[in-house]
This record gives sequence, C-alpha cells and structure tokens, in this order.
Amino acid sequence: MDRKATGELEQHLVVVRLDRERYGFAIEHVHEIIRMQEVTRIPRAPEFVEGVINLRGQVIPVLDLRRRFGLPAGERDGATRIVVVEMNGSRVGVVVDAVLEVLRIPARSVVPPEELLATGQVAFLRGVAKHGEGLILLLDLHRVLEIAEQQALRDLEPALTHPEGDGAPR
Amino acid sequence: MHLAKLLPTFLAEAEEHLQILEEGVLQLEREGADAGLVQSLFRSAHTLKGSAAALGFRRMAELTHRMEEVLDALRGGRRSAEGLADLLLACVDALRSLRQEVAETGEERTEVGELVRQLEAWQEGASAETLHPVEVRIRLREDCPMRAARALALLQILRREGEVEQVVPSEEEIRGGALDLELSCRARVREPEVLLELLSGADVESVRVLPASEAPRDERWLDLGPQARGKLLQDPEVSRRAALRTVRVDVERLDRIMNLVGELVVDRIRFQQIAHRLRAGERAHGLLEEILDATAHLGRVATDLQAQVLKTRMLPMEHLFSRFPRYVRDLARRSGKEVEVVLEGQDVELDRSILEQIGGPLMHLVRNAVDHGIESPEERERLGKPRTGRLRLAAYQEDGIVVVVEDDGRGIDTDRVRRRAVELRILSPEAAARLTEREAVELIFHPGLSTAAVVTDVSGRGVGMDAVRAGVQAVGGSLEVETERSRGTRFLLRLPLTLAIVRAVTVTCGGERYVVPISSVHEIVEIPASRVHRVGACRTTVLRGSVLPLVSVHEILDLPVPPDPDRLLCVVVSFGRRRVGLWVDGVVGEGEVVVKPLGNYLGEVPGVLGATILGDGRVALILDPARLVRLAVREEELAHVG
Repeated sequence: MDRKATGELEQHLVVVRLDRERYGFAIEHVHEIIRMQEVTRIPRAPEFVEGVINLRGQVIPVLDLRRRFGLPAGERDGATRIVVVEMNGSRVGVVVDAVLEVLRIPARSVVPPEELLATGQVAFLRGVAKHGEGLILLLDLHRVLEIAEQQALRDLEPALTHPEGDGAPR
Repeated sequence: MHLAKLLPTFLAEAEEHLQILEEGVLQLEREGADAGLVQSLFRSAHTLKGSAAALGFRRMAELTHRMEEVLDALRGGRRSAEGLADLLLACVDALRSLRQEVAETGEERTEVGELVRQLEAWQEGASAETLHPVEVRIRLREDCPMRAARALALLQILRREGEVEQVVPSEEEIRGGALDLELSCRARVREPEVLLELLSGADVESVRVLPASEAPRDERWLDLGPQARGKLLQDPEVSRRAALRTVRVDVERLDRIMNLVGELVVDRIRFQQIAHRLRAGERAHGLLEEILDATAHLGRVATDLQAQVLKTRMLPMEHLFSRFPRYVRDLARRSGKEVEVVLEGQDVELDRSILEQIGGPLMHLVRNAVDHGIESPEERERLGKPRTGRLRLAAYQEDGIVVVVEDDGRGIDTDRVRRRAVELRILSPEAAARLTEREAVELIFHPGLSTAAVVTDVSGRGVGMDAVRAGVQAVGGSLEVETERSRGTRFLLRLPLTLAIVRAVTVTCGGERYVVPISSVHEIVEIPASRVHRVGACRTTVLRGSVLPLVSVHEILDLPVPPDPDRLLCVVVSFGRRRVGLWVDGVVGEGEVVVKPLGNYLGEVPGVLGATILGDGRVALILDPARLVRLAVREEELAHVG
C-alpha cells in the first residue's frame, strides 16, 4: 500500500461513478479522459478486457471496470467515459459510467483498507475517503490493472494447443 | 540529479566500447598482441573507466581500471598475451551484465571481486589461477534424509572450490522440492581431483566429475523448458541488444522530417481556411478543387514523412553480425572444433524491429552449423577438407533483404532424417521413401521431428527448426535451406525491408474486420458447401486435386458462426509446405497497413501479430495465420489430413 500517498496532506482525485458508488483515481495516473468509442475485441483475452482502441495512433487496451469488479453490466450512454491511465509506461483505458469531478481531499479523511469490511471490490481499494455526505472509494490502480488472471490464461494456452503436452514444438 | 540525463549516453557509449573490447580481444587471441590493437583496447577500457567513475558506478570503474593496468603491462611488452583472452572476455561479459543492471535498475549487482583478483594475479606475473571446467553429477542415496538440505550443502562445498555456473535442478527448484536423487552441476574449479573426496559422504551414492568437454550432453540442459517455444526470440544474447532502445539519428534526416512536419501544419491551416469559407456560405463546389489539391498535397507529405521515419528505423546488419565471432568462438571451443567466421554485407540496412527479432533464429542456425554441420578438425582432415571449418554470414539486398547462414560441413543427412520421421511415425516407410531429396530436407521443419530430434543431432538445443522458421515468418519472412552431402548447408532468410508497414488483405469475420499479412496468403477461393467434408473435428475440401484443411476463423476467435452458408469464402494461407484455408465472411480488399504493437499490457495475444488502424480510425487486429491454425487444430490431425 502506498503509505506516502496517505501520509500527504491532500490527495488529488478524479472522481468517477460506477453503478451506485463513487470511485477516485489518483490524478497523477490519469492521462486523459475520452468519450466512449467503438472497441475492437481481442480474442481469448480475459473477460474484463473489452478490447483495444485507437488513441491518436497508439493502440491501447480498454478494461470494463464493472466487469472487473463483478458488477452487473450497465447501460452505455452519453455520460460513459474512458479514463486513460498510465502506469509503468503502459497506457490503459478504463470504462466508467461517468466522470463526476476532480477534487482534493485531506489525507486525514482517508480510512485505510484494513478497516474496511470485506466486499467484492475491497481488493482493488487502497482506502475510502469521507467527502461531504458520502464516501469515495479510492482505487488501487496496480491491483485494478493486474492481469494475473490473464497470465494464468496464457499459461494454459500451450496445453490447449497441444493437449498431449509433449508434442509441443519447443 | 544529472544521472538520469547522462545515463542513456553512458549506456550507448558503454555498449560501443564493449563491442570494441570484445572484437579486439578476439583479434588479440587470433593474431597476438599488436601494438595498435592493444592501444585501442586500452583506450576503450580507459574511457569506460572514466565515465563509469564519473557516474558513480564503482564496480565498472574498478574492473576497467584493472583491465587498463593489465593492458598497459601488455603494451609495455612486460607480459605476453598468452591465456589473457579468456580472462578479458570474462571481464567484458561482467561489464555487460553490469551495464544491463544499471540500465534496468540503476544498481550494480554482478560481483567483480574474483575477476579483479585474477587480473591482479595476472599482472603480478603469478599465473592467474586456472579454473577447470567440469561437470559434476551427484547421486544421493535413496535413504538420504532431507535431500534438499544435503544437496544445498554439497553445492556450498562446490562453491568453495570454484565457481558454480549451472545447477540442475536449480537452487529454487531444489528448495521447492524438485530434487529427486540426482544433482548435476557445471562448474569451474581449482582442483577437480579433490572434488570426489570432498563431495562423497554417507548420504551420497555416487559422484562423477567429468571434464566439461567430455561429458555427454545432458538433454535437460538442452531443453529450454515449456516456455521455450515463444522464448526463442528472447535469447539472453539477443535481449542484451534489444535493451538498447535509443537511436542515433543523422541530423540531416531529422531536419528533413522537421520540414515535412512543417508542411503538415501548413496543410492543416489550408483545411481550416476551407472550412471557414464553407461556413461563411461560400459555394461548396467552388472549393472542391482546393480540397482535392490540399488532400493531394497532404498525401505526398504523408508518404515522404513515412519514408523518412522508416529510414530512422534502419540499422546496419553489423549490429547483429558483430556478436557472432565471439559466439562462434565460444561454441567452437566447447565442442573442440575450429571455425572461421566470414561476415559479408555488414552495412546492409534492416528495420530495427526485424533485426531484433531475427537475432534468435539466426543464433540458432549458427549454433546448428557449428554443433552439427561442421566436422571436427580430425574428421575434416580425413575428408581432405581444411581443418578449419568456414561459417559464412552474409546479407544482401534483393527484393527485400536476404541473410545467408552457410557452412562447409557435412550437410544434412536426408537418409537419417527419413529414418527419424518413420521412427516417430510422422511418415509411413513408403511415404518416406517416396519423398524427393528436397522434400526430405524440408522434414527438418516438421514440428514433431525437430522436437524429437533434439537429443539426437538434427537440431541443437531443444528449440526446433520449426520454431526457427516460425520466428522468421513472424516478421513476414521465409526460411529456405539448401544442402549438399559432405559439402555443407546454406540457410536463406528472406526478410521484408521493414516490419512497420506490410501488405495485407483485410477480411471481415463475425462483424469485425481482421487483417492477414499478404506474405502468408496464397490465394482466396470460394468453396461450395457441397464440396466441404468433415474429417473428425476438421473441415476439408479438395482444391485442384489436393486436400485442403479448412479452419473456421469464427470458431477460433469465438465469433458467431454464420448459419450454413452455401459457399465458404476461404483465404488460403501457406506456412512451410502446408496449406490451410481460413474460412471468413468476406474480403474487403488489399493494401498497405501500418503495424502497431498491442502494447505490453496485453502481452502476446495468441494468433494475433499486432494491430493496425483502418481508414475510419478503428483498430483491426492483424492475424498470425500459422499460429491461428495451431490454435484450431492439433498438429497431429493436420498431419493426417494435410
């Protein structure tokens, strides 16, 4: 967990809506926010990978955050956005229901994840911030982007291709 | 603070000096210590020392400092170069790892103490301690308690006696409980004789210590493991180059690119003005000429810009070839052969992405040539050939670029290949006998054969020739072989000039558009449904007298399969000698597409080579037909019908 971030006085967030909750992306990871566009699907990719899009000549993957969190599929409408985040040199788009605001919250209003109740998404959170009346769930982007599942999938591939195993060309 | 700025320059400079040092040491070994040569080695070590010290890389600085002193002693004629080449090459290797570590993590990890000590020892005239390469095989007793701990203790002992280079199973595997009873190590030790005594004990059933060159090959070392298939292209030797991601561009070229970008800006202004005039109510057809004119100009600028940028991606073959003299030297030494390397066409330029990707396949071909092609000096003498074998690496420009790997060794024994294919039930004895010489040679690319032949001697190191061919095809090239018994073997790699742009056919399938590189497309045919037969899980048809397996792209990519069409539209692709029809919904057209990577987030997507952006701005995936077919059908089934 990013101790330093919670130790700072303020956090700068891009707040988005997903289902009925508000989630916050640390602004330093947000590259840009674009409208939803047609996505080219990738065969055999993990289910939460929606596909790839063209971002001014660069091909980037797009994740469906709802599917990532196991939430019910939502309607795509005029408010749907792709938040393009950049981490470890890769750019990845994340589909959210709407982008609400950019805001600063004091660090002391953040409750660390150990104190949160275990829910489906808790693994993807680095904390919860109290803001006004409600709460903002702070995303742990590393976890969100982690593609361990896909790695597992890829490891399966040789076995799928060559059921006997030893017949695989090495 | 300045480090981040200076580092890229330092890394590039270091790579250059390491190259000079390596080539120089090889020449030193071949031709002895010529004053000019030693001077140039000294200069490189000296420069490297200076910049490493300035950036605070202590180990690199220390090692180069010692090398410098040794070279100085050599220059003053105080010592002969005898036996120094190995030591200096070991230093170059260590510097290379350090450079790599610094590039990746900013820290030096590789230990240099031992090398520094040896350099000092050499300089003091006390002959540097010679380490003997050995292979040690230890078998534990069945009733040995705590085998893993015992094995690790044995390794400790071995480490005290020298350097352990490789252990099978690896230490992590031992810790993970992978050790059965046998432990094999490759090591360099001071006194091999004492090992037997040291390593034997109550729990040890047997210890064998063999000089490394005489030990029979252990296939477990040859096998690169289950991940090897896709990893051939990531030979460590290759990645060390691939890690160098910076380019030096001729300023003149940059200027030309800048000019063209300026033209693009002008075009944008023109279009803006046209838009304003349209908005102001000017009649559209009066502006048509101007729009056409601006579009034509834009087209010319885009084409020129593309050509210029492509040129900045080109690198001379030298980048690839230069590592082979050293590589072949090491290989030849290990197998007790004498091999001379001839390099031709060093300045032929090739797109850097292709250059990086064919490194692995090329290395494999070279390894094969030295290991299996070229005979031992004694055998060559017996055959009336010169003792020293000749390995020629050449590049020249034809339609694309052709790279040749040629040896004057024994050639491919097609009788043996046929026998092997029959043994492995790839072919019936009758079918094997019917093959022409050419077809029999082509068998080495059969996946079954090239895998199984690993432990015999058709292939080299657990990577099949089929993987080599696949590697070449992955960059849109082809691999051919010519061979003559007892005269030698020649491999021809035909490569496209660039990877960034390929000619391709765009097809539709399940509502998506896909792109198939034209290099693998043979033809496009429509097949009436009545002529499609099912053999097991596979569809086939007969096309001009031969059986053509059909593969449904819908099924492989999980797309909706159209309900019983009366005609199947098939893109016939070929790889190797095999042809397969890919069933798609429609063909859009043919043209050039710009290849884009899918990015490292998704990693390698099976069956997909990359992506491209179509005229409407949408992304289309570029399919890898060979891989796609493998995904769809098991090799065996193909072998039955194909």
